[in-house]
Amino acid sequence: MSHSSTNLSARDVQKHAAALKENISKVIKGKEDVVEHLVLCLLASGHLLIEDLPGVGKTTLAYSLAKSLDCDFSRIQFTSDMLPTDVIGVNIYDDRVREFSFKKGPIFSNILLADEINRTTPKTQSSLLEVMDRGKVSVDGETFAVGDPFIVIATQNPVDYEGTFPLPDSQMDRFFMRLHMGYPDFESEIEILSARENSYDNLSLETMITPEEVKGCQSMVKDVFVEDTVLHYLVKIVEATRTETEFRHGVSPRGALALKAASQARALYYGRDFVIPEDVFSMTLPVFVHRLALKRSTSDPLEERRVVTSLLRSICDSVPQPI
Amino acid sequence: MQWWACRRQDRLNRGDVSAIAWFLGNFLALVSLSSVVNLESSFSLIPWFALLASGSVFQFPRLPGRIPPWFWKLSNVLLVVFLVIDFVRTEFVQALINLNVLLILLRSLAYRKKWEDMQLILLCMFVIVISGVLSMSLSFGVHIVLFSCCAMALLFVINLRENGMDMAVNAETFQHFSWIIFVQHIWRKMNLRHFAFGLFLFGILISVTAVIFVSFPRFHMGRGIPFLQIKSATSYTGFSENVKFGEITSIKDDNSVAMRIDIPDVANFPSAPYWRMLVLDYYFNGHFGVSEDAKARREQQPESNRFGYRPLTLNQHYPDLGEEKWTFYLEGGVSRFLPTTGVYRDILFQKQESFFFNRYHHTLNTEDVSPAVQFYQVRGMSFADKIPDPNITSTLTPITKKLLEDPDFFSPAEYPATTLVVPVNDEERDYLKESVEKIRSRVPDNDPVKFAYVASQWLASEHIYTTSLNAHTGSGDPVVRWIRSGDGGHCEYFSAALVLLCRTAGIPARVVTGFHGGTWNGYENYFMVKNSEAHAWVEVFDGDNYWVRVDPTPGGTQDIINLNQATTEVESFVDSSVTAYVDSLRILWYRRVVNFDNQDQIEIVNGFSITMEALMEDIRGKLKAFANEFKAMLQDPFNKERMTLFGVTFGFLFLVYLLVRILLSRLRARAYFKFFGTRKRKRIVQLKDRVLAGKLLLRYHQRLESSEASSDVLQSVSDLQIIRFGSVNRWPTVSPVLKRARKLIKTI
Repeated sequence: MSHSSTNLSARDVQKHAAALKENISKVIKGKEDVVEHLVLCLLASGHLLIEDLPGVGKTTLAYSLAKSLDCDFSRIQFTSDMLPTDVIGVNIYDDRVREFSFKKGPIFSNILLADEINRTTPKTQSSLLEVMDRGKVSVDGETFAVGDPFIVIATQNPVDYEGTFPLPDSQMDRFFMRLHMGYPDFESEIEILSARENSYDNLSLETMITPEEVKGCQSMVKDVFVEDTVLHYLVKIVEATRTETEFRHGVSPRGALALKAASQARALYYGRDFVIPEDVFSMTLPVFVHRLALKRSTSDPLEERRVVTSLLRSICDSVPQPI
Repeated sequence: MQWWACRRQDRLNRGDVSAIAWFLGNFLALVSLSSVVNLESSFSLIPWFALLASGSVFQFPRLPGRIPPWFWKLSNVLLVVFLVIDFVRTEFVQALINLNVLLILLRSLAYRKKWEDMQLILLCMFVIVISGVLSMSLSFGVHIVLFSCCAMALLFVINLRENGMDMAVNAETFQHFSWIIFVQHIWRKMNLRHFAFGLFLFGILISVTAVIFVSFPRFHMGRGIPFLQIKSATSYTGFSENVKFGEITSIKDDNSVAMRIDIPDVANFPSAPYWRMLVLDYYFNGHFGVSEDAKARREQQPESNRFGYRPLTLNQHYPDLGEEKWTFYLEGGVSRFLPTTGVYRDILFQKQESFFFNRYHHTLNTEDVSPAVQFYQVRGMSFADKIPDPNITSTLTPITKKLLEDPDFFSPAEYPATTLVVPVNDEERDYLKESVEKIRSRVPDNDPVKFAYVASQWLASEHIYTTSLNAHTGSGDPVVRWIRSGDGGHCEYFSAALVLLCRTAGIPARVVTGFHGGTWNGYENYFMVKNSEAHAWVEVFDGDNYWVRVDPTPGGTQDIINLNQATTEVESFVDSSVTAYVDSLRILWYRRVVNFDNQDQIEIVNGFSITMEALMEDIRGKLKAFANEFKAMLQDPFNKERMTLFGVTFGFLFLVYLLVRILLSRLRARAYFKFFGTRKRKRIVQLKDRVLAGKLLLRYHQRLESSEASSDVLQSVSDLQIIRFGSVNRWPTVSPVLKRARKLIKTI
């Protein structure tokens, strides 16, 4: 674990990722795939939206990641009366030096847990737009860099819940993946229940990886080789979402970029420095599902998600993989 | 951009397969309905309507979804009612076909289930076979081939559906249907190998059918299945037993082929032969006809004669008729009188035939007008212009004398006397007599035939030949009116006029209708006679047992033409147009398929054995020559000449081999260039390696599905993956990896 960022190999990244996953799995039991996606999201320097009913471990997941990386961590509990300044920070007039000084908000950290993001107003939600895109914040014409690496882990309840503001499409598109926790299975639940302590503060997790190493891994992801035919395959899937008549609109080029990054991250996660079609195939669903909406209106958003998922699945099955 | 690998995995989905099945079924329905329409019988409008409805559903597959459900309930009831009426009202076969047509229509209007598809296949087969048996036309061949293709494909697709994916088409399948998009879609997903396999299967089917067809013993069913007959529409006017003066005109515009004739010998074949069909001996007020007496005298042939007939009278008068065979194919619906030259040894039918022979007229007619092509074979035919009628001289001579003395004398309308009667009024008779006198002044002796020739010349000098006629109205006899008018006319007018003139002069004369001329089809070497070549001419009695042909129509010639000699005349006589080519396909069908009999079988087998023997002989000879050569070479192995030859040949072959190699690799390279628009050779080599690795990965993938992979295999797979998908900089050395993979795949 003493590698510097410059001479990491694919194998090293795989080792780091595996260690990270193992560490988090100690706390989040029976959710291998969710944890894997979380790690991939970190590798691809994307932001994560975790969506599910209250009490299934969304926040715990975010906490465990923060604890496993030796990074600055801050948490914002969104409420409906929150203002953008509560997130970003504010210029305060300092009487002693007779000038405005910027008081940094909770956003200046490496890992930002935006808890229940859909409880706040769209105005406050939008304050995250710039920082999620560029990793920078502009206040009164002055730009401040947030932490590096920087990852937003937002959690939200399903949109039909009382007193929520659905995230606008532009905000949705900036999230790299949307994950569902789902209920734990029988065995895992027994394990959870038989643990003595279950509060966040008592999570017994070691720090597995430094921010430097995370940065190194992230830069490795960008170098993962994508062969022409695999790229064609990826674009074909993207095109298929655009021609599917059931969808209101297809996936944006940002979405396509996200799929590429996710595939590259997955390749590294499995110790390869090149992408195989299988990477693209298995990343399509988590990366695209929140970027698509149905043309016909459904009363039940959960139903809509189910339909979108099944449509995406059929698209994945119908686009032939390069041999 | 199409990447080869994508193409291979593209497959038809369930919706495509079911849509294809539905379209195949509807196409079958279209084929069978068109075969019924092709029957050309008076079957009412039902097949046409069905064809139209089925065709529009085929074009707009959304339509069946809009049919309300009550329609189906109602249609069943209506169908039963209609059928009961139909079976009572019409013939059995017609009603049967109508029933089938309606059932096929109902099936093709619906989104069918699997068992309904099977039903449709059976119904279509029934309809096509029935209409084929009835018509025996070339289109039957086309229909049955189309049918077997589609039925095979449909059964195959149904079977696919059987295997695990049961889905029927419904209105949703065709919700956003467009033919262009559908065809493109299928074309994109089409697996050419499957297509080729289908073609291969079809080839097998055809060849097996051919073998069965050639080797299966023939037997004549003919009228053994009595209900399998339909009555044709009426025959052409002009070839029935009663012709009104001026009626033949319409047929002159009909350019379709009326009959085809296979001739035994192309030498000494008359360029414009006269094909006699019908003799009209009776005349009254513009009507020519077969007199009741002559009709009564024709002989219905006994059962034993139904496959053929030998008119005894002819043998007596023409003892030297040959044995050459002439095969006639008379189109359906032309006439029930069979065209021949009138003089022949015997006539044979392809199937049992109920027919009449009139030995006074030398005409032969079947009971009904055949709706399908009528085949008959005439042996020992002569193109002489004399028809014997031996027994009437004694009857005719006294009547002639009496008539000359007393023109108003009417014998009872008995046959030979009918050829002398001129039923006109006195004024007209006087005019005719005047004309006869004019003509007679130019005939030196009293020869009836010479008189007829001169009378023809006289008519030709007074009238021109034309087919565009003025309508002659007025009172009195129309023929006399025409002679007086000086207007133009066609064969019928000239013949009628000549008959009246001859009869006035006391010479028995009768009108004969049939065909005159024809063209030679050079594609399949047979003689074609068109409906427009229908003709009428005259036979006059020479007072000595024979009726002699006289053609009064201007331009009527009879030359002997030798087709073996390429003269300009032959060239104008030979028809080499496109229509002639299409027509030649039909004769091929009649000759090789419909009329295929035991003798043809024997000929084919003989021909085959002769060819094989010749081939074997040839091979044996070549082997011997080779052996001799080889021996000579052994005796003198280093013959300079031979060595040079050997060296040059070897060098040449090697050069060709090299060229082909280079050309092939160039072509392959060009294909890759096209894909990526680059011209770097190095890149192509890399691509080849990628392709090879990809193929090997696929094979691994196929084989590893069920078994555990060893660490060796895993290593090999990951190496292959690097070559296939990885960056070139990270590639291991390619060839050992590929080699190892090939080896390992074999061990799995």
